[in-house]
Amino acid sequence: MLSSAELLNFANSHGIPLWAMDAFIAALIALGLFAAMGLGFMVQVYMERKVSAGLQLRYGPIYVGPKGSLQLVADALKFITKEDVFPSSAEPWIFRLAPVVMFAAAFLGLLVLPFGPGLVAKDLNVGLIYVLAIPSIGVAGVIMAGFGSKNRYAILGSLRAAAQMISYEVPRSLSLIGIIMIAGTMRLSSIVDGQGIWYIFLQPLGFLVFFVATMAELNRTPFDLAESESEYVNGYHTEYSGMRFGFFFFAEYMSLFAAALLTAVLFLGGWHGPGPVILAPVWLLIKVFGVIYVLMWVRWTFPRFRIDQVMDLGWKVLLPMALVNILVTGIIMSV
Amino acid sequence: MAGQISNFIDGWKSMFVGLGITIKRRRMSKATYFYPYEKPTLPDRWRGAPMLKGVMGDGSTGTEKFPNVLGEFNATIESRKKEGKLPQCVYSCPAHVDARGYVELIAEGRFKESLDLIRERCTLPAAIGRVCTRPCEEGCRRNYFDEPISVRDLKRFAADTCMNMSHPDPIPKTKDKKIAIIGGGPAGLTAAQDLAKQGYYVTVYDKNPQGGGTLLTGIPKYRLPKNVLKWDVDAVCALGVDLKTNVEVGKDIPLIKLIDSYDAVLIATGLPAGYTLGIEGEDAEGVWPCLELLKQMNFDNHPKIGKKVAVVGGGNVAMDGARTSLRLGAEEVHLVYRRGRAEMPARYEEIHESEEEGIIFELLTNPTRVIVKGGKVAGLECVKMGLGEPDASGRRRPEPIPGSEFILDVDTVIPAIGQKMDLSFLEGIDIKLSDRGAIIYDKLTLQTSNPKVFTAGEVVTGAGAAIQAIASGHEAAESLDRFLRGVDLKEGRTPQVMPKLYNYPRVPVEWIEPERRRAHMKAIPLEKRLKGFTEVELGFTEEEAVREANRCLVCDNENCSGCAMCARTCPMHSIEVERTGPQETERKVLKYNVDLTKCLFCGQCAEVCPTKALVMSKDYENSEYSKEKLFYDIERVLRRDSAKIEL
Repeated sequence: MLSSAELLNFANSHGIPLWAMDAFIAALIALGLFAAMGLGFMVQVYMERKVSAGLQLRYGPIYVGPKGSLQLVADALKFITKEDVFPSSAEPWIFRLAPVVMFAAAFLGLLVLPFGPGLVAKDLNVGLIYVLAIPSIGVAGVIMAGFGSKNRYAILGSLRAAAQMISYEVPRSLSLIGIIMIAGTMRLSSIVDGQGIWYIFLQPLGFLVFFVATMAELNRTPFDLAESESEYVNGYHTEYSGMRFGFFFFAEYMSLFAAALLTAVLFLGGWHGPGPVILAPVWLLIKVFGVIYVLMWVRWTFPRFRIDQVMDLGWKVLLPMALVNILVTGIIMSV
Repeated sequence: MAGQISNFIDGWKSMFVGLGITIKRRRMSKATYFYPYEKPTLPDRWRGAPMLKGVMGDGSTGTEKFPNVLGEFNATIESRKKEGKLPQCVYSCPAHVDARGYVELIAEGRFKESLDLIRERCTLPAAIGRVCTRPCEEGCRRNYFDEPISVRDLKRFAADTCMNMSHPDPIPKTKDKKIAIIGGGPAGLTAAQDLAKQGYYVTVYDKNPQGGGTLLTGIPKYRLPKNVLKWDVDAVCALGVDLKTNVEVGKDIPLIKLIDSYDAVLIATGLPAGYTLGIEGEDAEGVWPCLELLKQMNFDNHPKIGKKVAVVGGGNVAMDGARTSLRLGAEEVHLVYRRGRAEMPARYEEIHESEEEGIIFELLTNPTRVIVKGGKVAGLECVKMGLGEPDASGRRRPEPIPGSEFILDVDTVIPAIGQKMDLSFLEGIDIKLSDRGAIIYDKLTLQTSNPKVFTAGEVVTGAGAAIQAIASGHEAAESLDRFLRGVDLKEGRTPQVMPKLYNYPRVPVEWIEPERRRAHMKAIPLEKRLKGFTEVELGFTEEEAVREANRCLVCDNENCSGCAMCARTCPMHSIEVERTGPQETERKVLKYNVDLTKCLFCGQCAEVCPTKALVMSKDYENSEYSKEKLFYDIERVLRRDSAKIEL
């Protein structure tokens, strides 16, 4: 973006140093993304409540705001005004930094995700690798939360979460090799441009592995072993309350949005859709929320896996499937 | 390997089945409630110790009466129905005559007040007390325990007892509007009474020599003596209604003249004409339309009929025709009806009494031809019918069986197969008629296409009981009052509350103590009945009437009437009721005690309580009770002496 000649001229003529201009624009982008994510967070939480209520014959929130849509505002006020409970035996800095690390990792992942043609903070040529790698730092946050809490439930939950997230990282990455082979690029916007036919049709097996692995990566039911209420109270964020818990919550829904966006970009044709280019973000958002709906639908349908079943599924089923997918793709491409 | 693959497929399949199940639930109705509208899971009268709200005659609350307030009566009835304070006898009556109220007044020995209350809604009490189809008794909640109260007979008793008293005083004419009513039957006289009470000048035109309409011409004298009807009509006329008899509108005076000279006109002419059979030989000598026969006989011109009579039809009129023929000297009366006994529209008692008097029922038979010899009836050819599929009215459709024709050897045929309107006087008047020749009117206001002309009675309700005609007469009176005051006819008006007939299961009454059974009027013996036209039923004596009226449970007034059904129902015998005596007239409650150490809080006593005086207090904690709620002693329970009931 800084390569834009007008901006450079503007900075030169007004005597603004280049680093200040850079920082200003970066801050602007970060704020914009944060605002968008905040809005998306509200929509997603409302949607989750309504979808789960619908699937369980309940009404969900109905009192705050029209049809209960402002329930999250009430919740946020509650989070902010709540007492910040700090366990006396907790490791002070690790405990405090854990939500920040979680949040930062999830937020950084959004940097390369395109919201439309050209609507991307940084269109890296290794975007796919970046978007797989950076959010995985979140595992560190989980471990920090569990370790910092000095709580048996929390540490067990965080260890499970770490094991699960690292295990599923492997089939998740491998399932995308097929796409990279077909598209011949790792730049996300180029992958979208190359999707004359959606990759979900070209890579059905890859999509399946990717989708299941994404669910595990997001720590959502049926893979919510890290925070399984019936076993570990609340897993790694047992000791967190108030706005610190709010950050975990925010990070969780941000990763959900990022994962849905990545799925839409990689497999569902990105912003492609009928109508003028101006509608591209709309098409993308429709696809993203479609994916989010399916994720919620799955979450409120199935019971939780056991830890050994999770490991079995990851290493004995998904990994071979991803490898077979690469083999088949390669054979078909070479033939 | 194959097993693994099938397991794999099964696993994925089951996951999609699961997803399908959850998504279907989005379309289902919610299992939870909105918080402020949450419904309690326990019914209202459930749980907590039983508690009496009040005892009859303790002076706190009297039984509510329903006098006729023109323009507000329907709204009162509807609101009481919603509150659950409307007794079922009042609800099931089309005119909502306050049966509970007047029966209670009879029980207290206040016969004149009782008659006044009856007259509020039921215009011709003595006549209706003899001929009504008594829907109130079908609704009576006593059906649930043993047998209903003889409400109709008590009405007759109230009227008969007061028959030597003077008629009510005339109402002063406070309004200068004049109303003409065509037809002096129940509907016409009801509207006349209501409007005269409002101070209007009301003139009733009737073509018969005496008022009463079908009650005069169509009901045989042995059921309704003519002097009784005259007393009733005179009571209405005493209010200031001008009854012009022997004037037939359309013949003696044209309708257009009435419309011009009066402020409003009400057509209440009823259904004076009978349907014809539509078969060969119907115009021969010896074929008497049933209504004509009854009319002639009521005017004491005893018609000459033969020795062998066939009455065609199965309704109340046919029964009257058959029984009248017996009294006119017929020796053999056949009743020809094309359906079975169960499908007969006549009332059960009528059928029963007719059979008792020796009428031969030719069921599932339809006349096909009147055999005429020398211009006179010589027989009736009939065909046997079989019952087919049920038709629109729910009754099975009769179909003729070919080759089953036979000849009934009779010399008189009396068709009684239905009635129709005679609207010949409407010729040349701009009142719209439907394709079938009926007057088009507004269902709520009973107004015809001419705004000055209204209609009521059987013209509106179709062939039915007199009490239905009376109900429509009240509606017409309200419309006329609104019309003459210049108020909008529909605004703020509650439509007539339509009754729903209750269908109680039959109680095996033979096991019930005789003192709880319903009283029956004495009747003259059978051999005397057939000789003349004296009234068959003799009415109650005062003692019988008071006893019968005391059987009334005074439903839905929230005051215990001492029936002790709660004590009979209680599975733990925890309710103790002391009354003055075992007889129905001695039901005054002396003591009412609920033993809470035995009570299960099951609520059956509150469910069975006909008065809704006993309720579950919902105070589930026993510590909440005060003894006063559960215990009544004699000083608070004085039924007859201290009752303060105002009309």
